Amino acid sequence: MENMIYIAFICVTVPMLFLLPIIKDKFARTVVGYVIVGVFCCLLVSELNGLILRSLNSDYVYVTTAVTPITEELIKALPVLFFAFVFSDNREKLLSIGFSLGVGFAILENIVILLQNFSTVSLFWAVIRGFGSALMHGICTGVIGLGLHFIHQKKKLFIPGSFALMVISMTYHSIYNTLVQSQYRYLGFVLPLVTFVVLFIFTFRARLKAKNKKIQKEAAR
Amino acid sequence: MDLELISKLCVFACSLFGFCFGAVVFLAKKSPLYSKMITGAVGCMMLGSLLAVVRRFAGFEERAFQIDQLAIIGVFLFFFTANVGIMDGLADDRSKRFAKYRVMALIAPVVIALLYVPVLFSNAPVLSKVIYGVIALVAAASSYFNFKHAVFPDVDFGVIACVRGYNWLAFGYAVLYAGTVAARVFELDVICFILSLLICCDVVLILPLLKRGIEKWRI
Repeated sequence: MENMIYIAFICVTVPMLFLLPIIKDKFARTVVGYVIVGVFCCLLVSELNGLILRSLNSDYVYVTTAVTPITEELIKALPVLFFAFVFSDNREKLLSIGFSLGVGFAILENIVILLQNFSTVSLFWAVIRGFGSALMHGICTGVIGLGLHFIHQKKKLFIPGSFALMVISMTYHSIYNTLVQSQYRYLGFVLPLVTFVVLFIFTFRARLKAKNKKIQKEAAR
Repeated sequence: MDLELISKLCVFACSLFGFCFGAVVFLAKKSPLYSKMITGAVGCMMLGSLLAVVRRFAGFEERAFQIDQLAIIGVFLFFFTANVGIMDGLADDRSKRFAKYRVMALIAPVVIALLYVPVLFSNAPVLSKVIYGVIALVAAASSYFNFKHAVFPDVDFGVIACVRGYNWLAFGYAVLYAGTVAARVFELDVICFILSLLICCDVVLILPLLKRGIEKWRI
């Protein structure tokens, strides 16, 4: 069972690695690439969190509500920061990249938790994990991506702004982890869903506005 | 319910109102980056206070370090980033004629430091003192610019003068928060509650006042 996370990692990433050269669209390839990066981040974080848990005398509740949100969000944010400062600061692209990385992270995390609790999991558990944890990880990194679009506009904003964005995602992550371990665990799964709906409405409205603007410009020509 | 929980609930409700206002007025529409950063700060306040409330309701043990303290650092970082990265360069050309205001603004970090001194000499755990020290440091840096922009003369297009009210409130938030920390460390529950209620008023007013100021930029 010790190497189970590595086995899961290989099972998930290898098929996706073969998929990469087949995808024609460059941005779609980047999105799948970032899902793989998310899976890798999860592998990295699991080792780190294990070390922290052992050093804090296995206080699981404290570690998952006060420490792992920091390590996970920090490691998840780095590839998004890299994308923003090397490739593109486009709002739509950064949101997609951030969200896909978070989803990749959640995929491996869910598989590992499934393997650890194989005898107790149910269909209900799968629905809850799928909607709750996957959305939460996606939203956390997606928000960092969205915020980086604004921060990238000025050099002076980079360091304090990036840290402030990470703080937002760490706090959100910690709220989720606290809720799912309390008697209000159902609220923990509602929180990412509500946030996702709000984020989706905002993004959809922005897309609609951009589309209308484009149509108006073309009509004016 | 005890006073601490009531005050935390009040701060959460007020910051939720503030964030929703900012999201509708600034984030959903085309607005200056400055206003988006301040909305981010209020969002950080909202999340931090929500976390504190959730932890209390869940009945988890309070430790020296919690992530809601990090959220407070996030609030001040957003204030700091907005003022240093966007506004300061527009107002202060580093010339000698504004030296008076740069020196005058040092009052703000001194006030924050004075409020932190009792915490330093209290019986609180060392880790708490270090964390509150870091928060005080970031709050001092951010309040320096808030105070500076609140007293700075109206230079070219009145950009600074329009957001003077917001800057006073942001400075007020830093002072009130530092006061709350000091009151909490010495277990002065009633003072802590009153300060929290003042924070609530501050948080409710901060974004509407900023909106009023920013509207003048377009005139």
